[in-house]
Amino acid sequence: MTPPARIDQVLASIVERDAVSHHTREAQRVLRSLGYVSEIYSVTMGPEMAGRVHPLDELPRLGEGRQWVLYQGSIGSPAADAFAAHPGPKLLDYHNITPVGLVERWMPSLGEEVRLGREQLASLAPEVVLGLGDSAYNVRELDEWGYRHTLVSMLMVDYTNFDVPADPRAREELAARRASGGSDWLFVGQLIPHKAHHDVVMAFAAYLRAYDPSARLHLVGRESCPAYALGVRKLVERLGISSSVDFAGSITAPELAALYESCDVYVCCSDHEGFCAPLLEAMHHGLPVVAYAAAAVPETVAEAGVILDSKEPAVVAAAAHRVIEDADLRQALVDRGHKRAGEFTLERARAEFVAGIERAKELLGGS
Amino acid sequence: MSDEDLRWSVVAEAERIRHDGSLPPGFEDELRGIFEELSQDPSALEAELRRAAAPAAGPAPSLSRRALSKAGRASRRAAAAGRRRVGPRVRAIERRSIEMASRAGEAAVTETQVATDVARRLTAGTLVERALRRALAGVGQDPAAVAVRPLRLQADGRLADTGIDRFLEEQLGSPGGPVLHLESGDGLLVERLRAEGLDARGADPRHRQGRERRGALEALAETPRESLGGLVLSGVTDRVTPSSARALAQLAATRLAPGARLVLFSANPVPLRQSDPVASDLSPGRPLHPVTWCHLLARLGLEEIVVRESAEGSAYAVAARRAGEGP
Repeated sequence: MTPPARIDQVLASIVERDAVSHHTREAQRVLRSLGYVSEIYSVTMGPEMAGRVHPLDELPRLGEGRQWVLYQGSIGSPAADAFAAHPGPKLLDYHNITPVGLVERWMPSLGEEVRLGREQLASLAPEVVLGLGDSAYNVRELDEWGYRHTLVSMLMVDYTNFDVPADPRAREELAARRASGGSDWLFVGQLIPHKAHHDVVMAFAAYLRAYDPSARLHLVGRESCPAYALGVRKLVERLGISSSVDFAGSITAPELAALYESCDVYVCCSDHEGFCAPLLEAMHHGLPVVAYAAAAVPETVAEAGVILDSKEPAVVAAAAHRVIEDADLRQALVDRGHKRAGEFTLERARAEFVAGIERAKELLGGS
Repeated sequence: MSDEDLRWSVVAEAERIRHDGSLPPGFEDELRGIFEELSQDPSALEAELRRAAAPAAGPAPSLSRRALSKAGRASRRAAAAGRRRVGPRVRAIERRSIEMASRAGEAAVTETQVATDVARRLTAGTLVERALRRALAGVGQDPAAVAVRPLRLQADGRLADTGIDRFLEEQLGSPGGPVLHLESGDGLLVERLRAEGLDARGADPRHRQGRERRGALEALAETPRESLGGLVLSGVTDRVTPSSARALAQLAATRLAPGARLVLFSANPVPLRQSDPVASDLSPGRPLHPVTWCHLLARLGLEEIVVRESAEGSAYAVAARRAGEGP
């Protein structure tokens, strides 16, 4: 089969500030640089995408050989149905879908979407020529679903975006707090159940009790599941630690940079992460990571953080204490973190994506 | 020290703080117990959020809500203590004043639009109206120039599109009060809803003559506040300008009882689907993009907003629920 004239991408939704959206647009740039015609077709899109992205129902069907379709899979969507029905060779880029059991009880509608998403992706296995995954963890899931050919291909996100200057006012406010003593914990992630903010709060409560009554916990991220967020807030109130916990919400990149610079430890107790960019961001900023070994977290952190097999409050608190107090360990983690974060370059991600396209050509006999 | 050794030393340290009195006996179980209790019934937390978001005109706050409110204030005060003293307060005041100005602006726009609606009725058929129509039609801005696309109904009152019909049924459910269908045409849908046991009534201001002929906004403005268990809008939604859409949404939101649902239908012409919502809705005299309705309804505090498109894509329905619990 000769290489196609065009490789189009389909996805559920595309907006300005979103990792999968960034990746999709970067993929389009790479495909065009390789000489393909490449357009993006989405079920929904932010107004800022007007003119750059087409509605899904405009996806052309040029017939086998002349057009490949690449599906960016991250949630249940009609885009998967359109992808399945397309006559051209199919490629999948899998960004992971949270397991149903972790969200269903708190967010029934999201539970339905992720259930649908997993069913759709599992049923697509025989159709897809090559499945790409952001991490080895994601690729393992594709393998379990029966995808014949799979490859790891990093998310194409420019992590040099982390280098925004810290907001001076936020930095000043944090310094004022730190002047009165106490260490600072940080966790960044939407307030949704599988991010397990409640486990971070419980570990922090143990840390306050056992080590440092003046410590502070900063939770950054929008409240995407209001009921869960209320549950976490009530937990904080019931524990009597409201004055030590800062629900910062969604903040600007410079404000977040100030937190990364000022805090002592990044603590992640997530039950599920397909990759977890904030871990990388923390390492990039020289903030040591303590994380529970769930899903792709150990793979993302590698040797550059303290990875725990348990998230019992006392264990997480003890690990955070160790990282904060042991200067040698801390320095080693900072150094390893910088090195690890430096491995995730946009150039490497592009090269992996191009390798994926080349592999698909081989599989289809186009080279 | 290897990573494995480090992990073991952390576990040993955890054991130490569990047993040397650094953590009280059973402390971790207590923590877990509290969260398990809190997370036992997520729907109760959602109901609490809905109560907190309900308008001031709703029922008197319960003790737990007052307690929550007090705790929230205390939490905010404590969080603010470490920050700059003036900055956050100024920002909060600014935010509140913007919200108040916005609400006042909404109310003023609604009143203006209702007045326009009344004026339209009073001038119906007069030389003034005909002159206005001619003038506006010349620049393509006459909303009435768009052909009204009534709901396509079968003789039994069911919508021609079964997907949308099922959507209407699901959304209306078992309303706890009367259901009003505005621009109900020949009343087929109302008759069907009545046959299904709902307290349904219709209003179609276009069908009346002379002084009886009222505009849709005027008719809705005359409906008592918080009196409706459900509201179905059709026809008028195809003709509204963005500003009167805002008034229509505002009136609809205030006429619904807490927990009641709104379902609106509109035509979905091809040009809308081919362009983005903002560009579409800057082209006057055409039905609004469903995304615009979603924004309008969300801004008015309605929740559970869902859009459903008909199978052939020529129409869409938007449903939303007013916060709070039904009767």
